[in-house]
Amino acid sequence: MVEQVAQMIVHGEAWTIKDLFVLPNEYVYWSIQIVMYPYMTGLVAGAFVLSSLYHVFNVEKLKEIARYALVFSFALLPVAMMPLMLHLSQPFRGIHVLMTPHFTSAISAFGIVFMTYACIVAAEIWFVYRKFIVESVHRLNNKQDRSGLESLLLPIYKVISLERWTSPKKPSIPTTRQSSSWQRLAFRLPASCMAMPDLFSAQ
Amino acid sequence: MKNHVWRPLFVVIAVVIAILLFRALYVPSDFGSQERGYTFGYHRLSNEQEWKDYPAKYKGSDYCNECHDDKVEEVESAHHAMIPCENCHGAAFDHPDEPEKLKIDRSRELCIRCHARLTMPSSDRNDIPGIDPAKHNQGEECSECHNPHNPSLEDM
Amino acid sequence: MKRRDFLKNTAVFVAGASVSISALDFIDPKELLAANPELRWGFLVDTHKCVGCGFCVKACKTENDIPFEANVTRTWVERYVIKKDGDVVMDSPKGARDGFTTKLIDQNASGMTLVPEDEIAQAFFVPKLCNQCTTPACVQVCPVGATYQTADGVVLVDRTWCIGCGYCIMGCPYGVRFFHPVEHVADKCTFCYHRIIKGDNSACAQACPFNARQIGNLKDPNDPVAKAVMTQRVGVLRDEYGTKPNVYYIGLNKEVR
Repeated sequence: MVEQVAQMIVHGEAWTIKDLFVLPNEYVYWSIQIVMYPYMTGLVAGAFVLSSLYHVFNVEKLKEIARYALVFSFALLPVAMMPLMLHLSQPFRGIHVLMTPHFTSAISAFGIVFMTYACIVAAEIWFVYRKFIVESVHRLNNKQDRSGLESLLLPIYKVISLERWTSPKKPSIPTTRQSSSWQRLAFRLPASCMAMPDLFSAQ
Repeated sequence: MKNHVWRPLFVVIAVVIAILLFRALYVPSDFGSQERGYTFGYHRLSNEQEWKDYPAKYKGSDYCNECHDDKVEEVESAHHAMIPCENCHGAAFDHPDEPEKLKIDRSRELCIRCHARLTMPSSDRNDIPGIDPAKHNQGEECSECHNPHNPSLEDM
Repeated sequence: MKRRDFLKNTAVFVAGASVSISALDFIDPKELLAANPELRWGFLVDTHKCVGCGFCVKACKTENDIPFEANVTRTWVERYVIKKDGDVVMDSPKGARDGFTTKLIDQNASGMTLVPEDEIAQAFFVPKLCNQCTTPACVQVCPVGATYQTADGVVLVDRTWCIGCGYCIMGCPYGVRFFHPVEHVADKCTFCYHRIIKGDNSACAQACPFNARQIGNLKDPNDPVAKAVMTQRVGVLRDEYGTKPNVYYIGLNKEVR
């Protein structure tokens, strides 16, 4: 009854060579993907350091590639996530690390660190490229014959610049007449929050 | 606060709210730290009941005794009384509904699990009467000569 | 500037202190002890009685739907042959799924070894299973909270939430965990939780003809397992890892890994 049973290969069995005594469930589970991942994050962090050398430490030699290094770092971040996702037995559940992180585990802590880093790099790219975006909006706006790609880029630039291109030369403190309705609300909101305790205390 | 600071701040707050909203919809509502604390008890509570409801396959020899009391009596009087019925006959599952008949494993491999003679001086294995499977009637079923329910050759 | 400095220093101090104080919340001693004061599952293995028949492994695979032909198992039996010159030869062919039926010892890539009878000093079997540790390392390293410990001490895995990273499998000092070949999530012995909470015995303990395995409640003073642990000379595996296992062994040698 038990002589000829077909073999079912389990995860790790194909590339694990067992010698002498090894516990029955022990296979090599973390293999090539976990090797690729530090290589990728090394590239990501290295590109960021390169750009920071110019932006923070003013190493003038790196001026030309500083902006590009930031973009490179940000673009490589999803690539660094790929080996991790591929090595999971349930790749589509990878987002669970960000949804219910268990901080006693190094993996979950690093998931949050990764997200924070991505946000920081995204923010820095936005700040560094702001002048270029606003100038591009003006340039494309004034151009009469826009090509297909440029007519696609124009609205994207407008959105990313957060409408800053509307008044580049005017003072940035809005007067009541010039500010838009949602700006007025934004100014009112913190003021009304600060006034709340006064409302309660005046009984 | 200046206009150009407000706008990016709103974008950040909107992104954070979007993530939290997605989390509230995606993560089951009973997920959290239970009695064992955050380190050892952080889980989805309803999973405990799912494991408790897992179907059992083995029923135990008392269940077999309800119908097959003659066989059980035969086994009880012999050395093999210690062996649960389901070890050789397979798990009961929902017998007699499903499966209607349990298989009887008559292979040599089943018997030599215990009765292959090994030299194990520090274990009770040495007390079990055993044979060398390569030399003792190779290729034949053990039940040809030995009754599994009462394997004593004198009683046959 | 003094007020600004004071505020800055206070903020830094509070931030630093909150990090270290919050670590205390992760492992609260009161939580560990008070989780379930009446019931704590424990296991007793008598290695003198184990004969290496492997019926426990077969029963466990059937009961818990682990594919029979896959080389993973929730429980297994190891054979130790200690020679007179001190060498230890050990094996566990397919986790003793088919029992031990030959004197040849399976050394995997190094082939089969036969130890002559006159060189054998001691030889015995050691069944192993999940120790359901009091401070399980596997639960601590799960990044998503998919594996956890119930109030009565059993460590379970949430099959719908596990992402299959394998950290818990690598983190277990006893090698008890594995990837379920069909479900593709982490799996391990659950003490047959679905059976023991209904008052039945675990599949392996019920299948053992020689009473080498017993499951019980360590908090109940009248329980046979609790009594054996308190009165007999028992040992645990790999105590140095600090996981506080709850499977106790009678007749454990120093050679047993």
